[in-house]
Amino acid sequence: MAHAAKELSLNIPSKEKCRWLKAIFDFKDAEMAHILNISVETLRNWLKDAEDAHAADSVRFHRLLSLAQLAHGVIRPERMGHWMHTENKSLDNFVPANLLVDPSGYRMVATLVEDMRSGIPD
Amino acid sequence: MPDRSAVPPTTSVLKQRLWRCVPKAFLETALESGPSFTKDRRYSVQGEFGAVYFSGAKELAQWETGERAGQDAEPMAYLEFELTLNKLVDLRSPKVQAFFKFPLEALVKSRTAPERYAATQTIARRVYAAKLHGLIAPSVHDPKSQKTDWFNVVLYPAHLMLSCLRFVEHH
Repeated sequence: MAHAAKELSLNIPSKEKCRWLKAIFDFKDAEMAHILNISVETLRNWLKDAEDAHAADSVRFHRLLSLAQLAHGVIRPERMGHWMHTENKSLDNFVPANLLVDPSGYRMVATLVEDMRSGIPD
Repeated sequence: MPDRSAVPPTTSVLKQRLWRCVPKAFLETALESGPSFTKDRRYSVQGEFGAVYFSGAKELAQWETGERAGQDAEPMAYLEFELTLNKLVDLRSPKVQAFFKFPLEALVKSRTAPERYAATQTIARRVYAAKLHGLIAPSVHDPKSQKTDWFNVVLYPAHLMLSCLRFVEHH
């Protein structure tokens, strides 16, 4: 497991993006399905699809890709899942993953990452 | 020309030490203001004007990094600068807060609070409209300035450029 974690990268792959997002953010199936607003069964179908044909139509899927892109160079890839599931003092102790369900919560998380990237204080 | 009565009291700083904290991967672009133009920030407004933000102390920048990502963050670079500049609005001053008619609490709302930037962006628009260079602002981590160097400085590059650019004509 530790070995696999070391191989994580925040470079978005050309294929199997859904699987990659699940790995990089360390999402459980039910959690990721909830964030994507789909059933677990649908998620499992998406995860089997190397071309991400159905996922590509999902705004929420693209939000997760954008967040991963923003985090590149900001959050260590092997710690991304930990960061995503840890209470964040800068977010008043909200857990980032719990904010991703709605657009305003996503913006808060994305802005925090972008602020780190750009050196913008709280 | 802005209404003279609308121009807030200003101050100047001489060789003021300031810090910026960015991931080492973005060291070369540490003074870019672009991201502050594309999203609302405390003292810059999406699609209207950007700013470059600084911390008054390295410890403040380190504290914020710790709160935001701790050990999960990529290695960070702490860049030290020295600023000499006039036409700055010091929002730590009660007199300046009274001028804008906003209490200190309105300036230091957390990033999850509703209407978190309502007061600060109102102030920023007035400072920007008056063509001032920027602001000295209380930090949300030390709003009452108990630590003398825990504050933020916000600079407006568009106005700083006016020192070397002269408008000629609108064609």
